[in-house]
Amino acid sequence: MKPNLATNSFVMDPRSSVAPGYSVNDDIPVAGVDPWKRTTFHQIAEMAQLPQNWDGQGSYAPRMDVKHAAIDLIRTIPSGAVQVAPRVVPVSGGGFHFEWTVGNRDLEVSVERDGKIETLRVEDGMPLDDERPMDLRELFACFAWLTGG
Amino acid sequence: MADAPHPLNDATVPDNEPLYIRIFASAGALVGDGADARPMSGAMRQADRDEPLSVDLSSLCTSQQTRDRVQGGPFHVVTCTAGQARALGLGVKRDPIAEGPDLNPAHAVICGAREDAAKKRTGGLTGKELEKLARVCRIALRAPENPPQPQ
Repeated sequence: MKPNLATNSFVMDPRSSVAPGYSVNDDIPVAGVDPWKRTTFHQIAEMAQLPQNWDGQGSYAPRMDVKHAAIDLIRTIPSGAVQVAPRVVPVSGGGFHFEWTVGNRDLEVSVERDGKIETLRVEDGMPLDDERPMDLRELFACFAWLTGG
Repeated sequence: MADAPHPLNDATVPDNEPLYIRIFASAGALVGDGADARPMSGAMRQADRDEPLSVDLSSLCTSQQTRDRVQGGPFHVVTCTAGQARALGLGVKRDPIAEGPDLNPAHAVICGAREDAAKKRTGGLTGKELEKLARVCRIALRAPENPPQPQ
């Protein structure tokens, strides 16, 4: 299922009784997803509304396609692969940065402004390898590493 | 611990000088609580990763001045010493901005080993370097208000 880039297909609706704070729509259904994913969708939506120059470096909020890439990334993480919500920050230049922590391991995933995904694994406070682009299959293997699988 | 100084290091900045780094105060920007809170590495990323990391020298400005220097925000200010950055193999160099609208005599940069496609150093920090730097930084001054709310 592809995001609808022509519209803002992720809509906030505080009246929704299915998933409070979200509209359930055909593009990105949120009912039934892991609770941590709903939290993360909310944070992505907030950051996509940042004003221009939010960082003092002239950055705009992440573009719609980058926002959708981030939402798609979170949505397609297999259910149960990780149980904790990531910390999320906007990245100067127009991307998103997610960081999951499980025990002594951290997994950092960036959605860059060109839509590419980069990761960094950290164990006991030491980065194991430098950031590198990944496809989703490799990324999901990183979640197995994170949870000790 | 690095063996040789970074080629862009400036020895006139003493190791014990605290450096101030401004970060956007989103909800996830700080890890941990209280005085031990540290920045998330993603919060320290600059728009152009090939550029060195901008910092201010504490000997020439206050943390409040660093926080309030630009439009936008809200911002936290985090800190590490020049020595802590150098211990990670990074260089610390004065880079005063002496004219123009962004006048800043306290401006300096932390330089890393990032390379471009031609394997030439750009002065920017690699992901590993930024991660290590984030883990030695600590909160110096928190933003004066809550992180931005949805509009």
